[in-house]
Amino acid sequence: MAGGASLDGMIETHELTKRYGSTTAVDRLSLVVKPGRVTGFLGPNGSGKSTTLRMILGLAHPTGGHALVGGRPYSELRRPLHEVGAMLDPGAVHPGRTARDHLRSIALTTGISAARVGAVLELTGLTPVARRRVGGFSLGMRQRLGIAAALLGDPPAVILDEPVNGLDPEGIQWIRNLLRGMAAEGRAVLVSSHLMTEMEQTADHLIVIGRGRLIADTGMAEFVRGASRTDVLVRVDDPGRLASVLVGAGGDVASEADGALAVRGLAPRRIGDLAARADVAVHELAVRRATLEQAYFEATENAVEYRAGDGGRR
Amino acid sequence: MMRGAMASEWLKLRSVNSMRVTLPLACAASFVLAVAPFASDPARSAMSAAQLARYDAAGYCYSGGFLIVVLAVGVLGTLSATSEYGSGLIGTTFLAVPRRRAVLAAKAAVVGGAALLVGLVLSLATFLTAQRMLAGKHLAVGLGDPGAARAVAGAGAFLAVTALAGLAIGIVLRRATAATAAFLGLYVGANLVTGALGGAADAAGRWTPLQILKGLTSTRGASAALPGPTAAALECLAYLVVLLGLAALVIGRRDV
Ligand SMILES: Nc1ncnc2c1ncn2[C@@H]1O[C@H](COP(=O)(O)OP(=O)(O)OP(=O)(O)O)[C@@H](O)[C@H]1O
Ligand SMILES: [Mg+2]
Repeated sequence: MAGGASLDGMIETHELTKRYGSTTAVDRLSLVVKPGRVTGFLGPNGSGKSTTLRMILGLAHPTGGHALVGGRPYSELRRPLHEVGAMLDPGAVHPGRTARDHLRSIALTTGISAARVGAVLELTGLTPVARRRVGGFSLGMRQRLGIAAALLGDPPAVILDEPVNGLDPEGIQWIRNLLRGMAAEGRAVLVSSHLMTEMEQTADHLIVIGRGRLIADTGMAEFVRGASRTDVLVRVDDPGRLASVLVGAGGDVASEADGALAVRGLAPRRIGDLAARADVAVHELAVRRATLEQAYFEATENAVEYRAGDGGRR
Repeated sequence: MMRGAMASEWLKLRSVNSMRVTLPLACAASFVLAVAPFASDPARSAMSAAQLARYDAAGYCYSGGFLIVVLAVGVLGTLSATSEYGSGLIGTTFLAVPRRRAVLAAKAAVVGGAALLVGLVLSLATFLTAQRMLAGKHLAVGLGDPGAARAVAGAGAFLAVTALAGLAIGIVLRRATAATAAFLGLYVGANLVTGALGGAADAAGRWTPLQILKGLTSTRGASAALPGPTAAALECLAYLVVLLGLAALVIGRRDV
């Protein structure tokens, strides 16, 4: 891999497309997953996340476009487990094999030592059940086993498809720290999930897709800030008067149940100035940030609307 | 990468109970049922000249009970592929070894090699035990007698061919039920059909796997429905080329 250092861990797709019969699962998707940060991969059910990941990993053949890992197609990687670790399906294990044998069978392909197998078992908390058959594992234990397999080659990039499914709170916190830690070490981390509050705490960057198409490829803070749900809560002694002033200044004002005003389209500072000029006493002025969940709903809802109107004519 | 892939396939093969339990059981049952009939065969002095001319002390080791291990090894061969497709583990395998034909080659080497070893040990054990039982009846042959060593080696090699055929069928069909049915159809069903058709199907009968096994192990000559040893070996080769070729073709093209 001489000279390839700069591409280490980089995952990219170019115009990646996958059609199954008449459904287009992934539609000319171009994205770059950079090292050193956790990239959240979001989208509604059936939006093409898993299909995209499978194409990146050479498990599904693209109908069009291509995907690269560290600058090369997955199928051309000489030591793939050392380039990218992946967990797509925690159920993909032989129920009759022990956890340790499962990992060893993967490790053997590329000369990963038994000590490393022991290390990832320890890291994922599976050491006590290492010699038990996987068939008896709970969903959370299988998730951990899948993550252990992804980490075997100590890769500069990891791809995890819904890794927190079935994990207990301790496990969720563990994986959050694990992913953040890996990103801090300079690895690329691409992780899909439907758990928005969890994603909000874990990811730095977001790629959002809907019906196979890119909706957003942006920083977490930027994405959430962009949501229209970010507003300013104002509590004053005369809400009626301030409301008309704010509307006159171009604000979008709604009344809350307790008489407070929820204002959009005006910065907090401008609201304060306008209130002072109108001689209204301000009791509280607070920016209420949208949550990732709200931002996500807005982004994907728009996409679905757009697609629904578009879909009939295609 | 090939060595690692083979080491991995070998671990996968021996780390599941279907192999650790089913195969030894099938071997034991096959051995017992293959040698038992020799106990009730009449002694040389009680046979007519025509009976004696037909009596195949080597070939009889591999009819009857031996078929149990043949079918077991074939089904286990399909299972070595279908269990991975069924669980989705094949995806994990391809992540570790993205060159899918290398995966097929590694599986074939391990499954075929293991079956060859088991087959040779079992066929030799069966032969030696049977001859010991026949010694008192003055019917025994030695490994040095015409065709005997070839029958032993042929029976062992046939198990390897069978395991590889099962593997290839498993990879092509992916589902355990479909692959098992197809394998049994080829190994048992085909014989039922050609048997029912009688002489009219002799040419086809020469190509059924069980006739091929008989051709490889018989020391009493070929017939219209029975290929000679060389023809039988070539037929094995043809089966392997077609089935493994098909498997190699589809394994790379398909999504997982
Ligand atoms: N093997 C397949 N054959 C036919 N259609 C498929 C296949 N795999 C996926 N699809 C279709 O492609 C689309 C995208 O599926 P995909 O599994 O990638 O979605 P996803 O974003 O991962 O969804 P989820 O959040 O539910 O996991 C869906 O419409 C799905 O039905
Ligand atoms: Mg999915």
